[in-house]
Amino acid sequence: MTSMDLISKNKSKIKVAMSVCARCGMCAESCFLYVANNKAPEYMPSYKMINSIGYILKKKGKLTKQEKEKIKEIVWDRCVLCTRCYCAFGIDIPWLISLARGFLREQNCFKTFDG
Amino acid sequence: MKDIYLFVRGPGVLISFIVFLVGTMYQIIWFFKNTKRYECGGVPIFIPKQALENIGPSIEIKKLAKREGTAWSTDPFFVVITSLFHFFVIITPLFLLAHNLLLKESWSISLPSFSEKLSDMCTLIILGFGIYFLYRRIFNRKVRSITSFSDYWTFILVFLPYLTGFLAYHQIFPYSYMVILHIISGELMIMLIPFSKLRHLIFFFLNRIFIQSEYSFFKKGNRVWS
Repeated sequence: MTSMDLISKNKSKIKVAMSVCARCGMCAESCFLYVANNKAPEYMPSYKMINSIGYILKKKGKLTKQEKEKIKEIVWDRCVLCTRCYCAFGIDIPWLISLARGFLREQNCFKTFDG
Repeated sequence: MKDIYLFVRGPGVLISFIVFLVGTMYQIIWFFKNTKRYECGGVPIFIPKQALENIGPSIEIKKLAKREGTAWSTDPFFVVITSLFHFFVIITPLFLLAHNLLLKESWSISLPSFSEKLSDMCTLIILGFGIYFLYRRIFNRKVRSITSFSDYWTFILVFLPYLTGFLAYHQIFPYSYMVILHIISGELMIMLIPFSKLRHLIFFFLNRIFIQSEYSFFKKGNRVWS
């Protein structure tokens, strides 16, 4: 499956999730990383979802190298897929983040480790 | 003006409700088509005591592990405000005397009505809480970081029917313009519920009841996204 197949297969689900998200911010305190990083908004589950898979969908998968690097940082450095995130509307945020990871992997954009 | 009023008061209402019902049915069918029953396994709905003791020294992490980090414990004020807001947004138009009189006139059915003073109070609560939401959206850092243009126009879409209804009832501006604006904005809101951010009305219940998650209602969610 190519990266675009991954997105087009799940396009309507991603679109609905982005639409159902009321941008209420109630998911914030349910994320360990948000709490541990001085409550920086960039660690909010909704922020991560909107700026990773939401952005990929908005750009129809056509991303520049810098955009991919930015999303890589969001989905690998700012989320560990612990699935603790609470969404009042039941949006499956970890699933959407993992879709973004899958998309990047298909584009040969991987998390690299130091050392 | 009279023609516009007759259209929005008559066929306009029917069109808006038909669009709302068809749109809602479409979303419900779409939901069941895009999810499937999940027979095996389950989701953890509790953390064993021993595991809790082994989690790091941070009190905050321990609390989150015990699911105390859901909205009730972290932001109870906002949970109360938003719950009351949604409650009044739904019951106020349903039990409004003017709406029930029009229903009786048109379709010979009506619901019980609140007193006009009570409806007024409910509307003011909605408008007040609405302004609080707008304030929060602009001045709260975490909410502002994820806000876009569609959040503002959704706010206007919901706020306008209640504001114009209040203004029309109290005849603050010319009544004929206000009542037409009220009806049009109300019909627009109803029509756009299944097709805009307001579809969270439908998906809130679908997701929280049917999708398997440790936060699903009644712990009976047995569907997953396919």
